Amino acid sequence: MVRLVDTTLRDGEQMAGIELGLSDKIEIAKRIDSLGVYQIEAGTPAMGGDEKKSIEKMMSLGLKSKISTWNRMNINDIKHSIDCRVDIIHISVPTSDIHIKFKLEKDRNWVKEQMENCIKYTMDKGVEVVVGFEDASRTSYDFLIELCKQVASLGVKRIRYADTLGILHPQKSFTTMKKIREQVPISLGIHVHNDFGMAVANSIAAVKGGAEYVDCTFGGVGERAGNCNYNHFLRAMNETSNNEMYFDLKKSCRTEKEILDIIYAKQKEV
Amino acid sequence: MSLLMGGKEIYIIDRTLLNLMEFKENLNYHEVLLFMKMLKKLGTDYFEIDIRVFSFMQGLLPQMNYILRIEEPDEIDLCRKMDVAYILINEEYLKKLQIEQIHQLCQFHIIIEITIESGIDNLMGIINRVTLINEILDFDKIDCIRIRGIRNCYCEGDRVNLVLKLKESFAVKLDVYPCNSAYMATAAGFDALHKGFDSITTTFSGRDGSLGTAALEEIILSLKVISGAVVRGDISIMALMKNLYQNLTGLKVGGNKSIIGEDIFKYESGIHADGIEKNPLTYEPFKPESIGMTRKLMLGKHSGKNSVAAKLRELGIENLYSDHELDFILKEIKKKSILRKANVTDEEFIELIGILKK
Repeated sequence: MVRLVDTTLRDGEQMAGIELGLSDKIEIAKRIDSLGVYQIEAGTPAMGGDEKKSIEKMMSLGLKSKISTWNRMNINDIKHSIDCRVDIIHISVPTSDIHIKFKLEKDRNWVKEQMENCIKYTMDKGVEVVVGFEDASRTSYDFLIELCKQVASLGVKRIRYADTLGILHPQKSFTTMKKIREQVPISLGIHVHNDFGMAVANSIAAVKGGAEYVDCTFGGVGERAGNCNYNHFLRAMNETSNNEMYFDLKKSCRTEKEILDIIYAKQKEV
Repeated sequence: MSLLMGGKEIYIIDRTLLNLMEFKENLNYHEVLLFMKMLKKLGTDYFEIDIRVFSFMQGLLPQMNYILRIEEPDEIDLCRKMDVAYILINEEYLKKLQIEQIHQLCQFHIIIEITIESGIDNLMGIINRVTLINEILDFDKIDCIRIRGIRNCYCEGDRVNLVLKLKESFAVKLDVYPCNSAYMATAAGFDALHKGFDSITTTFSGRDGSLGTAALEEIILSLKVISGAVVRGDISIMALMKNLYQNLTGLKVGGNKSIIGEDIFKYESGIHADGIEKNPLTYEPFKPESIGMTRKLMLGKHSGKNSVAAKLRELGIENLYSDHELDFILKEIKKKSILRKANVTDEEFIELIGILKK
């Protein structure tokens, strides 16, 4: 069973040049919801302004998809998400030594402590938490397992393995998912980038290794070379499953066109 | 040999020239020649060509290695005249050849192509087919078996088994020619090379017929960056090659195409801008300069105060703005970018801060 998490409205929108207003985000969310997508990562409420308003509005629509938001590992970000009354709060935890040293300018112990504080704070508010390990594919395996165990012990049910720089390859994707599943009782999500053209294959390999949640974007939009393309992933799932049709591509291809028309509408006019 | 991975030599066969023939009417001979030289400089070991390429090129350039794809019996003669050392024959075509034609083949280095039709490769099926080929042509006459159409990665041993079995049984080199029908061609090729294949067939940008194949630039960079392979080619010409490729074909390479898309080193979000300012390694898998590109900070809805400060630095403007003023600038950037659904340009930014008159 694979559940799709659409991040067109978060990581997709982070791509330089994609600038969505409130009504654009609402229209796109409705279309994604109409496909029966399990979860929509709707954006980053801590940005404030129209971004936060669009997520609040999305929550008022009663969509079937679960709505989640992306948060840095700090209480202030999380408070903005709680204001929006979203279904799932995603807490992004930088885990590689490069990110911890150069971006956070902290150490591993600080990360573990801060992560625990944020998880406890959010869970106390009664909101489902998903912890995303940022730059997981450059993180030492032992530290990753240590974090998974810590997260699981706090009652979190799902983690997301983020290949932030797109440097994962299928064998590693498969093996890592399998090993985590064997060692920690927790659900796994995969979030990949397409820097070397391997995003779809890495997602497929992760599913075969035990990942249940796969992040995608329509048109494969996203930072740098983008994220795992939604329709390409569906096509690959169909092709690698003895041609058993898991997903109906006709409708999602139509939806992709509608979404990309919204994203690029005014750019075309210019 | 342009690549060395874990001490093993990896060869690249490129078939971009074949694909360029689709645009034959509009191709500029000198540009094609230049592009071919660049393909060689980047790391192509062998050029796969056919009779159309030969005619277009009006012969063959020296100091290049060619593999001629044979599709008609009289082309075997042509190979001899052209002094081509390597020929490529599809398995089905081989079966149709007469005994004397098969004898003629033996003066060349031979590559036999086996096409896999199904999405799910059948391990025993491939081995049986290779065995049948061996009945037609001794394996000591065959340099390489190309497996065409691999479209998936095998993480649980199947591919390793296939490679071991073929190599043990037939003592032959293996080439992977992936199919991109499931959008996994580069990964399938990358995976195959790690599981014992000796060479890979690619095209620049991955365009190849209606389904596509592994992209040359993705294969070279992924082996270098992810696997630490020694790349002997000059990767700094990739951006130039992209431009020339667009000129030749009249096609626009997608802005976020892996490796060569013109937008892949543009960054906007506050988090990425902050990370890249501190150390580009945080959010870039390789240096843009290494492939002849540059990074560019863009301003838009996702920018933060750090981005504004960084843009001021980039433009050589002293940051004399208070927090309050930076907030104002940021709000205006966000408003303008959402309204236009596009980034705020440097000119627009300069105009915007001009309002504050420092």
